[in-house]
Amino acid sequence: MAGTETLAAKRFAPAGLLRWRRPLGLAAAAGMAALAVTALLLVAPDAVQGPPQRIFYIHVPSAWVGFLALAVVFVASVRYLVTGDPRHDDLASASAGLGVLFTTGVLLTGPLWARPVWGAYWVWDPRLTSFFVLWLVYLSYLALRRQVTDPVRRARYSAVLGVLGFLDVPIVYMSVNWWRGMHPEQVVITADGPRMPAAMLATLLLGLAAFTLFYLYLLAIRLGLARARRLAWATDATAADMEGTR
Amino acid sequence: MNGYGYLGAAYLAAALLYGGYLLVLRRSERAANLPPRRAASGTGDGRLR
Amino acid sequence: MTTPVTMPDVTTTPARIPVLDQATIAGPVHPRPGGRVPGGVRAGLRAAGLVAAKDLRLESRTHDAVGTVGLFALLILVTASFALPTGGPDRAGIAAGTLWMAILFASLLGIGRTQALESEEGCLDALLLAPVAREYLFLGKLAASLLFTVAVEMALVPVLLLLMQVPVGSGLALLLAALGLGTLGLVGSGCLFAVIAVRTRMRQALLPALVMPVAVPLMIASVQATGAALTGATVGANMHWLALLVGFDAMVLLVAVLAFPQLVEE
Repeated sequence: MAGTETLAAKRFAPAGLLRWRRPLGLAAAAGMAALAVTALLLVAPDAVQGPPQRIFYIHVPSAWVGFLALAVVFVASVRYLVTGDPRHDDLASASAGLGVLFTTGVLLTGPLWARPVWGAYWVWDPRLTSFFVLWLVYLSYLALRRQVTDPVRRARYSAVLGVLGFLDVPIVYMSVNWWRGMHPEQVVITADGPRMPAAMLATLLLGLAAFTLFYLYLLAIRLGLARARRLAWATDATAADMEGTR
Repeated sequence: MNGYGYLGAAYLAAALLYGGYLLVLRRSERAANLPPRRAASGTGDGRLR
Repeated sequence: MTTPVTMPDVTTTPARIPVLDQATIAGPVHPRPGGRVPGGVRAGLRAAGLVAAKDLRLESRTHDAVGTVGLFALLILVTASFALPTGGPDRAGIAAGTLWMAILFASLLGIGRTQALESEEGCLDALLLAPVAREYLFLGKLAASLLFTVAVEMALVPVLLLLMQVPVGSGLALLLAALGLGTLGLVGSGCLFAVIAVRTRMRQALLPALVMPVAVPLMIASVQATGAALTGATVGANMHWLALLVGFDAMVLLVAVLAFPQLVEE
């Protein structure tokens, strides 16, 4: 048909993050490799805790990136509620899945660090309990999305959950200071700067960078999938429409 | 299990979790007939599909 | 019901081919609750009052929300007093935890039941005919549920103090603040999630599963503040808990104003 060339001549330039997908993937791979080498081999072991302390370099970045992912869910959910634009819902659901992924990572690495250092895999102290609840909240977010089939309803309901569920994050963060629990006190961000040997701090920052890049890469893939779904829908609809007018 | 055991288990668990997720994600991309570059650049050959 | 998709017009000349730009790919924007609703604030408040009055009238006939639910909460307290150590050194903390568990279960039970009734009998559809902004409907429901929950609490707290052998004394102000702010947040999130829950397959049975994880920050702050109050602590020493409660309540009300009109409009 005469029109298809006009149609195809339009380049659907990928928006925002999708364009950076390839460089993000490479950077994330490099960062993770560097982290593994540094955390496992290069940085000096902790005098008191011994080898298991190295888990810190993947445990803390997992937590931070988990919080980042959930913050993105929060902002995207608010924007969806305000504007109704389904692309914000795409971002919220993509980031929520990643949030569950990284918080699961925290829940896997944490007990394996706790057992040799504290003697127990798990304690019901305030930080761990509130973190576990956070994991449950976003699991219920995913479950709610599974249950509701209508896309408009699904987006609205999960947006409410995405906004209110985030209120647990400040609790998790502050619970270490407001109660006395077993989880180690704040050492990185204190009133007078980080209280950690420079090598450890550098490795931690490397871990944060690597995990953040990894998160962005995964997000780019998921957003690409969402976009492809919508593109398929749009072209389906357009093709069907054009069929009807032949 | 000594200290190295826990260390190895933690790093292994993380690798399986994150690596496994990445694999599953890329597999679902392939299932959607989207070679990675295509997804980002739209149709290159002038056809709708 | 979702609005039908409006595709770009293809019925005329071949030159007018629909362009697949970013916006079309994204699809139609999800419908927003309609623009200017007539009525204004006074009519809205009046509508809220009528909604609340409806719930109160229903309650006066069935005595479910306060009577049956209150009894249930009381039984939780009594059972806890057998199951948990009373009179020990940490009895204030145990009493606070038990109280809030009872309030949580009781309020979720009441709110879930009310919401289910409302949607079953088509009452909500009738309410939506009212020419007022939807937020006022939420306000009415919130007011009625608050009244019921507070009524139940007024019976629970004295019984609790008696059973758990805890004095109040100088912590009264903190106790009232914790109860007030905590109840507001709990009932607010309950009413909000109830609207979602009744529209799923599990209906109001889903309500506790939605509210309880989300309400954990609220519960933590309420229980800690109430526990402190029962040991005679002052408001000043527990400002961080009260601040958290205020923040949580503000968020719940904000989300309610933002989302409730979209949730009820089907």
